[in-house]
Amino acid sequence: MKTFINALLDNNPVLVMALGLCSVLAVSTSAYNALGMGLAVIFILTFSNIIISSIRKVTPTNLRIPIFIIVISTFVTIVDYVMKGYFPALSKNLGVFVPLIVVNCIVFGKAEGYASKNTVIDSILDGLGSGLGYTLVMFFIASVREILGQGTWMSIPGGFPGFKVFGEGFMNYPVLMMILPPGGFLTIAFFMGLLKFYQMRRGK
Amino acid sequence: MKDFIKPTFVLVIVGIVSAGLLSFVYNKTLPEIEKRAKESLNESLSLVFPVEGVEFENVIPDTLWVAKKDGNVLGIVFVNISKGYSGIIKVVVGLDREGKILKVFVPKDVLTETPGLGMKVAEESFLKQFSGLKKEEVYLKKDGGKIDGITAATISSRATTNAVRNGIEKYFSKIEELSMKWYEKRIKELFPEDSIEMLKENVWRIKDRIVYYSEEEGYGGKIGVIVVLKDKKIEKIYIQSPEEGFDETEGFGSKVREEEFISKFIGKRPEDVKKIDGITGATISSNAVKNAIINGYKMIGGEK
Repeated sequence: MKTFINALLDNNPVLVMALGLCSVLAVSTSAYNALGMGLAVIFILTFSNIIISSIRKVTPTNLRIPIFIIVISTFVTIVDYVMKGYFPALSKNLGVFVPLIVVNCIVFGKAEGYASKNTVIDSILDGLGSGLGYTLVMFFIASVREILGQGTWMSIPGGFPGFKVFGEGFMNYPVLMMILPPGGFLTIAFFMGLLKFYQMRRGK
Repeated sequence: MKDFIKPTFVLVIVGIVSAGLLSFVYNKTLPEIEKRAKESLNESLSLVFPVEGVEFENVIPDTLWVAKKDGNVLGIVFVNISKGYSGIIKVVVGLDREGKILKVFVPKDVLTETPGLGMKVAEESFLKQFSGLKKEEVYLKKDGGKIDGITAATISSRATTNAVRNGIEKYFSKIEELSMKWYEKRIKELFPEDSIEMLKENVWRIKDRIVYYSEEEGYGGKIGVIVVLKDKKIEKIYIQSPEEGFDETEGFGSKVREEEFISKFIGKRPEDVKKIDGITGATISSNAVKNAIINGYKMIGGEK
């Protein structure tokens, strides 16, 4: 449990370790996309952690990187196929960021830094925690950006139009900057500050 | 030596397991992925060509489709691109036979314009303006056309109208060609230089020649014949090729397409064709060709 909480909060991959920021910035323009991407990362992270920690004793040290890449890319490709087949709209929206999970620092960092040195159970917890940390943070960031930048929340392309948070007047002239990259940076910084503030308060 | 074998072995095992797993998932999801791709293609095609019961036939892969209903060509659907503000704008357009736009669709998934501004070219409120317009009307109002551009996104709006208009220019002429019958195409190929004047159905005048098309039931199906007359004499005949639907028995009926049989007709008057000897073993096919020539000639009434 401690492993899980540690990975989720104190070592949150996005806000504390600042890993995988590229995908967070790109995908967090709508809450639905963020959720989809987050679930994909949770799945990949957990399963590649399981495999890597269970073969850690037979993995030759000098060959660990290629092996990690094979394992991770296998799960990424599985997720990519499943998404294309069953969630085509999501797959179109996430676009290249799904295949790019292969080189996502969170997944790779966890494989190298945690799973290859710890037991399977710990690795599962760490994977779930980090994945959930990534997903939650991205979901919050995306919610803020979508609400301010588009005036909707949880809109699904080609399906549910989303909750209208503000009135029509706002929808016509939303805070466009929030959907664009600067809005992403601002929101991430805001959440980083918030977590730091919480940690300092708790420390005292 | 041991340092060499163990890593190789591990890497091979990992590779094999991974490949096996992937091919399993691939085979499981492939039909679903293909179904989705086909669905979304058909969806956008029927979106821009909203006519009940049409079928789309691909002419140029990913670019041009012909919309057919009961064998008649109703129009085309084409895909065209142009350079927008920050990338490529792709349009899917349905066009009827008169060259009028039925509907324009801009797929959002490949659009990279600015969200909230250029992205609005994919919205119905902008795209509905195109329906019913002809090529020369597809300009922005400030360029003398009929389309209201999007405020603060002139480049994207203009790029969209350009993509639509240039597409019509490129592909509209194809409708004519696509709805032509095989023998009309063939006649055009036989006389590439000359202007073809249609006298009545299946009869044409090309300079000093009269050309007519006629068909008659053969052994394996209809046999179509194009006859070229000059000074009331047969100058040339062309018999439908297997690609065009000719289906007589190989080695027997198929001989009517051979030079030996065809040359017997050259220089004869159509009314004298009856006396020409048929091919042994292919009486039905040879008679069909002869009758097609004679009946076609009756149809034009022997007129010049």
